[in-house]
Parts: sequence; structure tokens; C-alpha cells
Amino acid sequence: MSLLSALNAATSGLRVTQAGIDVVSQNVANADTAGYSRRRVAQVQQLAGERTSGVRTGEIERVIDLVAQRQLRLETSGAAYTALSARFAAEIDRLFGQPGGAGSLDGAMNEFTAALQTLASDPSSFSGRSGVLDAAGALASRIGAVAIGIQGLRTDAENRIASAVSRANELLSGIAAINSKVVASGTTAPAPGLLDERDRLINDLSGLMDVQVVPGQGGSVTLLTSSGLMLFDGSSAVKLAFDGRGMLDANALYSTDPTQRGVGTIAATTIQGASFDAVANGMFRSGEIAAALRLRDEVLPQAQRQLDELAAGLSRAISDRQVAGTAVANGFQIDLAGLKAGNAVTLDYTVGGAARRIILMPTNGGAPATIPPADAGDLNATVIPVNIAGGLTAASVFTSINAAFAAKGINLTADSPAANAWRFVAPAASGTVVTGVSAGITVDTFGSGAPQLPLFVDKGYGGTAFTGSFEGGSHLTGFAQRIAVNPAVLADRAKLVVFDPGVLQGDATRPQFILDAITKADRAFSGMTGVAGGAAFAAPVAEFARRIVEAQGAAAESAERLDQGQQVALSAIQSRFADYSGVNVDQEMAMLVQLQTAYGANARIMTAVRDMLDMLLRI
Amino acid sequence: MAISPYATPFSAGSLAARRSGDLFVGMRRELDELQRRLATGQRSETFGGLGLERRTSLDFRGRLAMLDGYLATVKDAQFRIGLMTDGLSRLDALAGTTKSELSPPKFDPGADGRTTVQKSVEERLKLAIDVLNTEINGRHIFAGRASDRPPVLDAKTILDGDGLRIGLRAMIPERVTADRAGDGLGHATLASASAAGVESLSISTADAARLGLKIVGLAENMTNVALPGTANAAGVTAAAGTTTAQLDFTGLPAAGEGFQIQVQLPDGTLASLSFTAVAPPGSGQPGTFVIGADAAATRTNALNAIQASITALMQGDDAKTASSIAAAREFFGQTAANPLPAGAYSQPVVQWYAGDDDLASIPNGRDTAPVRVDESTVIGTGARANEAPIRNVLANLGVLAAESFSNTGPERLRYEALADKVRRNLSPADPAERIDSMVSDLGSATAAMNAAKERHQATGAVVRDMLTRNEEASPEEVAASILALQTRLQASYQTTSILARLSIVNYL
Repeated sequence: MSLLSALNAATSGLRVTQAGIDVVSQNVANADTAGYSRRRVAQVQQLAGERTSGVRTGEIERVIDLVAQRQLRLETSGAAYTALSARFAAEIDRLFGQPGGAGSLDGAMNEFTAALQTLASDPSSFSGRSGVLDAAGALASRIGAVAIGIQGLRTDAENRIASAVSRANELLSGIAAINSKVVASGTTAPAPGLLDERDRLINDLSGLMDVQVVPGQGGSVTLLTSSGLMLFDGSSAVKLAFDGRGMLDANALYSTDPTQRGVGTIAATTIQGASFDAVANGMFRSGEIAAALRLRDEVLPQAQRQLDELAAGLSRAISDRQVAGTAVANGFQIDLAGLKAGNAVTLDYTVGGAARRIILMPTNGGAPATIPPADAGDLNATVIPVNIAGGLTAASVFTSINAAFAAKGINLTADSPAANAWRFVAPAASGTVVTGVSAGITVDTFGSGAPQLPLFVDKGYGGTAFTGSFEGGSHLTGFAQRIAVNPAVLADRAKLVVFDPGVLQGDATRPQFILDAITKADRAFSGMTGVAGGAAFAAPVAEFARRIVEAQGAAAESAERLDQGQQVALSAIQSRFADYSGVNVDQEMAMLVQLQTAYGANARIMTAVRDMLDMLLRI
Repeated sequence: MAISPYATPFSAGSLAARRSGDLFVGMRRELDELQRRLATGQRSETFGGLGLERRTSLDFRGRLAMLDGYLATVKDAQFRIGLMTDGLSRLDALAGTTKSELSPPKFDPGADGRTTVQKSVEERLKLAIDVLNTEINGRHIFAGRASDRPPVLDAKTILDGDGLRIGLRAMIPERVTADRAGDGLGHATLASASAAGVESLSISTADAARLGLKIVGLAENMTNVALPGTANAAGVTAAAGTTTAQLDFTGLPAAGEGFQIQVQLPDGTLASLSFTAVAPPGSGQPGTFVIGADAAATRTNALNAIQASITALMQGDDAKTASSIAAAREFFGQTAANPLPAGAYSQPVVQWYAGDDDLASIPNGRDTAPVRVDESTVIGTGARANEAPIRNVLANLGVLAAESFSNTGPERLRYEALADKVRRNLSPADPAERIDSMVSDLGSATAAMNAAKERHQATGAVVRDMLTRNEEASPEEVAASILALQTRLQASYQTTSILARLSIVNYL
């Protein structure tokens, strides 16, 4: 107990208040700094033995709510995911045009049907014929333009993945660098600035992917994705590499098989040096990368599929002659004269009462050995490619069909009872019953005597009528971009009316047929379009076009709503985090006043001690 | 909808300030959106923004396009029907004028052997052909489905042929001669037979024959003479494509008794031949026969009388004009699908009609231009120039225009006979031959279309109203929203500015 110890205490008080003011000034200065969390300095009493000998500065600690921080990262990933999804969904929606606008897809379809109505009421009119061809051309190019827009968006998504991956790599190496400094500080408490910076980088990373942070020894952290991909093990980070493609088209699709893959994938090279396909392993479940992957590989390809099916439906509704089989003993037979490669023959049968379906896919030998059911439009069907290049009823046709039946355990036999006819028979009382067979046969000539005509052609395959062929790959994929009005009709408009050499120019049969084929006749659209959930959807083509627009509009709306909800959740957690960890200038100013007062008080004590010492010395 | 501006990482310290800034930006954006709605009147620029109404909106637009299509079709068809009705009325008027000019017929042939009326009838024929070749927007309305070309040849070719083929003028005399036949009996066959005390005579004609007379009926009131048991109510026997009138004489009829034979002339008009039995030696009057010594002789006398009467009939004006009219009908009745039999005339005959003549698949001319005015309602609005009512007018005008007469007494009678027939033919009793039946067909088509049109207009109005409600932003609502938003924004600005000034920093 002495004046000197009081002087010491006051001096230590001054030091501590100086340190406090230093922290306040840091807080105020960094109030707007991203990633900065409020600092607080603790005052600790200085002990000399049992006695308090003043005060000392404790640790400068970050004010941080770890629970809120974890939640913040989770919501950040989610918000980045929904925001990107919503943004793309809105772009897709915009591609379909303004309600009632000139460029809208449904408007183009309505104009086409209106032109057909006009032509049906005056089939010989030159202007009526031109009107139909103009509207058909506008519709085809509208479908193409939307599809091109879809692929543009896919390319955007691809680029976005590329930039997100390179950003993720930067962030991961930044995290690794800072983490090593944190660990290097050893037993002493790591500098809050380093921790803040590391958190900032992790938060940044959480916008790209779903990051889980596991605290490790000595202030180190381990980063994992929620699917278990080790991003950073405390010493070194995984290397992500993305082999992006410049321009995507409808045929450029993701595949786990690198030779089939038409788009980029993210290769992760682990710390041990092992490399694997992170996309194939579903390593990204949230954040911008996951959203962009889903858009590129699911959402946008489905939109493309919808447009492809629309284009195919439009083309084949007008060009296809629908034939149905007739019942024969224990089975059905069907006349398939004129069957083209790709004109699927659908065979329905039941086994013990359960309905089954076989799709016999005629080919000319250029199709893959197996055709995925999804490509044939029915996930539940058995697809059997049949090479008819040697003739529709060649022995080899039935040999291969029967071999395929036997291989798949289907208790049916196929043969040909007459020219151009196929017959499918199940053994009597075998439990297998053929219930029907049907096919749509593409008419690719104009004067065949049938009202059908190839009004639209596939620009990509020699300008021939679209048949659904699989020669050299599915012709359906990307047909939306390739559909065009048949140049032969443009050159001779009479083909819109004259379906037989003897048909008169004023005969409404063909225009009326086209109109009914578009607006009245139901067509089956594959469940792959997702327009009616996952189920197949039967509707006239015009109706299907509207359902596509509707489905995409609904998708945009729900994505938007989901994103709004996610942004609310994000901003709530941000507020919670900010309330606790953010710098409040008012609070800091109050602290400043408090520190000023304390400083003054300590200084006053020093003055008093000096006065008292003076007094002593003057004695 | 950009990625939230305060996404990762963010500065916790200034979150509140930036959030209010974002709110202002949001409100400004909302204001811009409302302004867009006010300017465009549209609730949303995309289908996504329409919410649940987008389905009805899409379907209504599709429906509206269909309705507009139907309405356009109806409008177009009604315009066409208007022209067709007009054309048919003109044809009817041409026929009417001709009829009135022919009663009474004025016989004033000029140097070319034709009367004034005949000359003006030729002009009328040209006019009628012009009407039938009416075209709107390249569509020939009386050509059925062959609407891309004029359906009827010009009057000159019709009358005089095209050099290679003959026209109506050359056909008429040929037909007159052909109808008369070499023996002058108009292709009737006279025969007699004797068997077991029954002496019979018969006169028969082939039912399907193109030329000559047709036996229609036989009536007798003679004693000892009977019709055969096979005779029908008209007194004739129809068997194996031949109609036969037969009289069986078993004895002698009494003087003053007689029989009548009814025959049909080539144009379908009927002529009666009466025969009366007279006691020997007879008067030699046409239409009498002398009662002979026995049934056989009487039968022979009767047969001779019939032969004489038929020969006279065939040389008479009635039969000649009937042949002329038959020729005209034949000319206008032929089509590419249904041509004249080969060798019917010395040379091929011009084909006057080039339009749609597929009568087998479309018997009714109205159905050649079916118009869909509703989901399932199809209304026929077509017409073919070779429909029976039009053919009737053309044939009768044509025969009058084609015939010529020398300025002599007997020719006047022939002219009068022709005029009489034409006049009667132009007022046909059969509804299928009357132009007003076509007009009334078209009238009911118009009425049906009007009904459809009204229905579509009413539906269209409702649909449009619903669409408006779905898609359009009401200006009042938008204006009110703008006002409310403006107030909110101003209040927020004010509050924010007050709060910003309320910092402890200002009081230190």
C-alpha cells in the first residue's frame, strides 16, 4: 500500500483505457468492413501475489455467435441456390414472350391455327395459303428461337460454373494460407483479424457450395461439403478443375461416361492426389455451383425436351398417318405399309392383368444397339430397336424381334401374316394377352391420297420429314432448333390443298385436317417433358404449347417465391448475426465516453499522487 | 431478381443502414413496375407474373384466336353468300324477263333467222355466264371446289363450238334428226302377232334409250279388244327395259270406239295419240282406223293408223322443239365425269363446264365449300354452275339463242311451240330445278352462320372480359397503389433521415 502502487494502478488504468480506445477506434473504423466482427477488450485485474496491483488488458476478443454463424452459412448457400434458380427460371419464362404479345409462343401457335381456319374456309386462296406458310414459318422459328435461348442459358450456366469453380479454388487456397498462419500462432490466442478473414472467406465459399466447418486443433478448421467431400483438411485444400465447353447445344449433355459427356464437369483432386468426378458423385447440394449444375443438366434440358416434343408433335401431327392393329386369334396384327425408321410401333399387352408396353423402334441400321426408354418417350416401356433396312417383313426382322422378346422374357411371338403386316401373338392361356398395337407412319410425300403431308422438315438431317428416327442418335434432341417449313411446300403452295392428283384447288379436306390435327387430335407427349408431373400427357399440339408456357411460367413463379422465402430467411439470420457481431457506432461512442471518463479519472489519480508526492517532498 | 445485394460476405456493422437502402431501392423498383403497368396496361410482362391466372389466360387466348378465326370465316363466307345470292337472283331475273318477253311470242326473225327476243336472250346467256364466272379474291364462287378457274365457257364457244368440237347450235338439228330415227317412228317399234284367236298389236320403246319417244300409257274403250294381263295401271307392260303398249283384238270393235296412246317426247313433255274406230270404208282422217272384216284386219288397220300418227307426230313442231330442248339439256347435262356417249353426235361436243363435278362424293353443291363455324358445325356455302336449277336456265336460254327460223308460216308455229316450251320450262314445278331452292339453301346457311356469329361474339366478349381481368392492370388500382407507395416512401425517407441524424456522434 503506497502512493507508488496507486500510481502504478492508475498507470495501468491509463494503459487499459488506451487499449480500449484503440479497440473502439478499430470498431468504428471497420464498421463498414465486410467480415469484420465487433471486438471487445476485456479488463483483467492485475494480481501481485494475493493483492490486486492494478488492471491489465485482457484478450481482445471477437464478439461472435457461432450458432448464428453456422446458420448464416447454411442460409447463404441456400439463398445463392434459390437466387440463381429463380433468375434463370425468370429468363426461361421471358423467352416464351409476353402474354398476348406478338413474339409469344402461344401467340405464334394461335396465329398458325387462325391461318389454317382461314385457309380451310377458302382453300384455293393464294393469300390464305401464304398466310398458313408464313404463320407456320413464324411458329417454327419461334420454337427455334426459344430453344436457342434455352441453350444460351445453358451456356451461361456452364460459364457460371467455371467462374464459381475458379473462385472456389481461390477461396480455398486463401483459407489454407490464413489457416496456416492461425495454426502458426501456436498456443497464443490467434489474432482476431486472421479469424475474421478466414470466416469471411468461408462465408464467401458458402455462397458457392454447402460448406460445413469443423473446428480442429490449435484454431485450425476442416471444411467439408454436406455430402462429405473434404474441401480442406486443415493443411491443404482440394483442387477443383472444370473443363467447361464454350457453347452448349441440345446434344451436349452431361454423362458420367467421359466419352459421352458434352459439357464440363468438376474434377476434384484430393489432398492425397486422387481425382474424381465431383458432379457424378453428387458432391454439390447447395450454393451457386449446385444451382448452376441443376439448371444445366436438369431444368434447361427439360425445357429443351419440351420444345423438342412440341416441334416433333407439331411436325408429326400433320405428317403421320395413325394406324391401329386389328385383333386376330390370340393377338393383334397391324398393316405398316410405309413405315419409316423412327416410327415407333407401340405394342400393349398385359401379363396377369398388369399392363406392359413394348416400343418397337424401326431403324435403318444406324441407330444405337440400345435405345434408352427416356429417349423413346416412355420410361416404363421396353424399347426394342428393329432393323428394317432389309425390308419391312424380312425374316431377319422377326428373328431379331423374337430374339429380343426371348431375351427379355416376354412371352410373345412376332411374324408377318401378309405383305407389310406385323402380327404379335401370345400363347393361349399363358397369362400374356396382347391388348393393342398402334403406330404413327410418317407420310413424306404430298400427293399420296392421304391428307397428311410433311409440312415441317428437319433442317439438320437433309431437310427430310421428321420421323423420330434414331439413325446416328436421337433426332428428337435439338429438333426444336432445326424445325422448318418444308421448302417443297414453299415452292408449291398448292401442296397445302392438293393431296391427290385429282383433288381440286378448293378442296378443304387437307387444310381442315391440318387444323384438326393441331387443335383437336390428342397426341401423347412423353412424361419426360414434365408438363403433367412425370406422367405422359395427351393433348392436342396447340394445347401442349400452352401447357409448356404455363409450366415454365409456374416454374418461374415458384422459383421466385422460393427465393423470396430464402432471402427472408437469409436476411433474418443476417440481422441476428449483425445484432450480435456488428459494430454499433452508438454503442462504441458510449463506450468511448466511458473510456474517456475512465481515462480522466485515472489521470486525476496520477495528478493527486503527484501532488501528494510534491507535498511530501516539500516537507 | 438479382442475387441479394447483401449476400456473402457482408459487413455486419452497416447491415441495418444498407438494408434500409435496399428497401428504398426495392420500393423504387416497385414504383417503376407500377409505372410500367400504368403505361402498358398489362399486369405482367411474362406468364410467370400472371400467377394462377396464367392457365386461363393462355387457354382464353387460344379460345379467342379460334373464335376470331370462326368470325373471320363467317364474315368471309357471308360476303361470298351475299354475292352468290345476288348472282342467283340475277339468273332468276334473266329467266323471268325472258318468260315475260315470250308471252305472247313475237315472231320477227331477222336476216340471220332469229327473232329480237332470241337476240336479247343470247345477250342474257352471256350475262348469266358472267354471273356464273363471278370471282372474288381469285375464288370462283360457282365452281365448287375447283374454285381456281372459271367454271363456264364463254357463250360463243357454247353456241358455236371451238372448231374441234361442235357447240349447241350444231347439236340441235342433229338431235332432231336422230330423235326422228330412220323410219320416222321416233325409235318406237311396232309389231303384230296372232295366236289362238287373239290378234294383237304392240308398240314398244326401250326405257334407257337416249333418243326418241317413250311409251307412257295406253287406254282403250273398245269392245272385243283388251289389254294384256301384264298391263299395269297405265295400261302398258314394262319388262326387260322395254315398255310395251299392247292391244289384243278378239273380235271387232264398234264404230266410234277407240284407244289413246300416250307418249313422252324427248324433252319429257307428253303427247297423246287418239285413235277412233270407224266403219268401212272410213274417212281417211288421221287418228281413225277402219273396222276390218275380222280381228286381224282391224288390228292391221289400227297398226297402220298408229304408224301414220307417230310419223306425223315426229315431224310436228312439238317433237322438233322437244328435240331441240333435249339437245340443250344434253349439252348442259354433260360433264367431264359424265360425258355424252361416244358417237352421240357426229363430232365431239364442247365441254361447257370446267368446275367441280364430283357428284359421286359430293352430291350437294352446297357441300363443295364447307365452312366450319364452330367446333362441330359445318355449313355448306358452295355452289356449282352445273346444278339442276342453273342448268335449266342455261339450257332454255341456250336453246332459244341457238335456234333459227325462216320467215315462213310453219316456222312461226315452231317458234311458238319452242317459246311455249321454254316459257314453261323456266317455271319448273320440281323444287330441285328451281333457283329459289338454291337461294333458300344459302339463306338458311346465312341464318345458321348468323346464329354461330352471335354465339361467338357473345362468348368472345365474355372471354375478352375475363382476359382483361386476368391480364390487365386497372389504372385506378395502379394509381391508388402508386399513391400509397409514394406516401410510404416519403415517410420512410423522412424517418430514415431523422434516425440518421439521431446518432450519439452528434451529441459528443
